[in-house]
Amino acid sequence: MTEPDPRTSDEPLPDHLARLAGELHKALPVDDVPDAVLAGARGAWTWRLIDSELAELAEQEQAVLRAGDGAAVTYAADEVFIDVDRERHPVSGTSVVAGQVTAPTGIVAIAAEVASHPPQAVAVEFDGGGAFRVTLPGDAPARLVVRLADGRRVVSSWLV
Amino acid sequence: MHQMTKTLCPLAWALVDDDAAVVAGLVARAAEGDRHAYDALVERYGRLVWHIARSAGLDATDAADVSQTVWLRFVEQITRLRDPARAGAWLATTARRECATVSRRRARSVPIDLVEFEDRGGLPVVDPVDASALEAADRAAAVRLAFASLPERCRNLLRLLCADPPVRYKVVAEALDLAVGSIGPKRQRCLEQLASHPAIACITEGGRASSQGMEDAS
Repeated sequence: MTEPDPRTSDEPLPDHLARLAGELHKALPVDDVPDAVLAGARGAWTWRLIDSELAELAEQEQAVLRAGDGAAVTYAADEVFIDVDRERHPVSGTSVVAGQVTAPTGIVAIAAEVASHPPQAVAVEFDGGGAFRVTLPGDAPARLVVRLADGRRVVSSWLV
Repeated sequence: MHQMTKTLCPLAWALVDDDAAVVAGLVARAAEGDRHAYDALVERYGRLVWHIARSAGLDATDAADVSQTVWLRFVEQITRLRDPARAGAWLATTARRECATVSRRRARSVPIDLVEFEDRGGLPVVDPVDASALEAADRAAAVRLAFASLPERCRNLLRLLCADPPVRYKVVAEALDLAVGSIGPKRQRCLEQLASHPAIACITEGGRASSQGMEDAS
């Protein structure tokens, strides 16, 4: 279905409803986006991926819906798999990110990047099987950055 | 017959400049690393993302969190968008999903819905046809009172259609998960429901008698 052009084809409103709509527009509290929110949106640019591979679910919709809901998700890039779960602790304000990285060429390092203000990067310890567990401050979106033995850098999609 | 007017909200027809070629160009430049192009996209759609979050009932803190997550995901996906010209729709859809995620997480602390609260007898209910009470209230308060009584889906739709700058139907549809063609009829039904609230009937120009007269004339 094509979008109706409201300037030419939208159903006109009866006059009393049009007047009421105008009154509603004036009556609803002004809720313009705070400058800090726009600044945050502009700041997201600094997190763009450079020289990295993005690991994401084959079904991106599921990643968006499930990540952060207490269910483990798997991000994949080529033959690298990042199984991860994020669990929040409402009292302490921290969250635990735990899971396992599977990479056929071996793992050199894992870090967790947190899109907080200011941004943080936390080194993540892992065992020989790629299992890891890290406590992150706050509940800002976070992602895992995996450096592989073959020189590749794989980054998970954002965990919220 | 009613005089038919092609107006919803004062600015509703001055649509966001959503020219597909312009948007696709900005996305392409941003994907190549042009920060100015990205900033232009934030300028164009930053308010939209905010309004979607607020229209979903999130408080300012949660709406700010949703905005940040949406833009982080946009930056992450900017080189992968299947249809760069529809970046606005992508942002709207992502914002709606992130709102759902935050709402689920905050389920135990969701602000009390005014109407549900009233249903439980938690608020003193002002008799909307009490003339003295109405005289004391300005028209905006009456409209807000009636608006609060609308079903959530109506409030979300009307709030988004009243956003400044205005939002294209296509984007509203993405944000609220509605068919584009259904927005006009739903808008009218919601406004009719708003108009039927006793508070509105009493403040309608010329009072209830005039309102009755309008109905008779239709």
